Amino acid sequence: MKVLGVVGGPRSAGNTVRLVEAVLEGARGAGHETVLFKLAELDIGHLGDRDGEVAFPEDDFDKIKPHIESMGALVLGSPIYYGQLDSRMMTFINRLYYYSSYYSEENRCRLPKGVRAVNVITYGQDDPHYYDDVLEWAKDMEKGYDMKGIRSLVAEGTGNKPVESRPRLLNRAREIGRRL
Amino acid sequence: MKVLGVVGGPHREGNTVRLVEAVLEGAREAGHETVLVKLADLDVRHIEEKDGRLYYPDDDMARKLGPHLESMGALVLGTPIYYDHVDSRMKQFIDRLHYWSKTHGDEYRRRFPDDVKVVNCITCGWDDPEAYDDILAWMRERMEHYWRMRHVADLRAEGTGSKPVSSRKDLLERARRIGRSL
Repeated sequence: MKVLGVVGGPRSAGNTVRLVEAVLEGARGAGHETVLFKLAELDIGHLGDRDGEVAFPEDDFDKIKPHIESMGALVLGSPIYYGQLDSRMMTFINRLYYYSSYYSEENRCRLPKGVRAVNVITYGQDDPHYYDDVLEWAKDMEKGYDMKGIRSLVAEGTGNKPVESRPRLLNRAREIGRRL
Repeated sequence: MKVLGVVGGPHREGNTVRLVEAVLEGAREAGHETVLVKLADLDVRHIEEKDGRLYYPDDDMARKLGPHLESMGALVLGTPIYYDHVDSRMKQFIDRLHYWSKTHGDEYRRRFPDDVKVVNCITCGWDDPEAYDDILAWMRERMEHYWRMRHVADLRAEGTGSKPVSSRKDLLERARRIGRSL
């Protein structure tokens, strides 16, 4: 199956990318195909307006669409800024409205059924449970799309403990990837 | 005093704009100067990375909003609720405030005014006025904790599908009253 990784945040080689890459490594080890998009390298706009209705801009979100429509698992990675996923990931999630049954029942059918999900968050705070509410929120969003077996992965205290220096965390990430 | 209204969401004439405008109307009645910024009219980009450090683009956030942010006495934030949270434009606005944070540098933090009053406005389709009190609390905590603002009031327009803000005389009057009290 295809495992799609999408990473928010401004950094193209930071902690979040590293941790999502480890999940994808594990997935490849189990024979899955993987694709990684760093939102910082794409131009994805906010939802638009046409005659008072929500409209969707034509932009790099179109590059991710074919993968969304053929994925078996989704790995979302984002740093936490101001107590929530960063603005690139929030924009990506708002754009998923394209696949919402509230917008279009037909589009909703193009989203595969039973997609598995992994949510990866990274932040400077030292408490590994500090942003459990954000993980719950992400999980609720994914359940709205009937995703299953949703797992979480947290890299806390990234200021003194960069992901690269945490072999056990990276192993856990690979293990989660293998078990997708 | 300058009262700055900042509205997220894609709609330029929607419920959120109408609600924030009512607060600004009240503020003008009380003699304040008001500025309304619809984020959908601006080109605001995400925080970037340059040479391993965070970089704040020189875009409409810096050029058009920056001067108002640095001279405001009150801030009125308005956002629709998308996916049970503030919309992506409002989150981007909040992330971009990081330019004025202590983490970026004291010289930037000093340019952000002290004691700004804040009013938070949310609009949502769900017809339950308390459904998103956690989001209002989140907004309030961000503004109080990071920017030391003084929270004045929250405004909720629930069930906007069947009860557009323009039809809610009581809510609009309350918004104007809050504006007058700033």
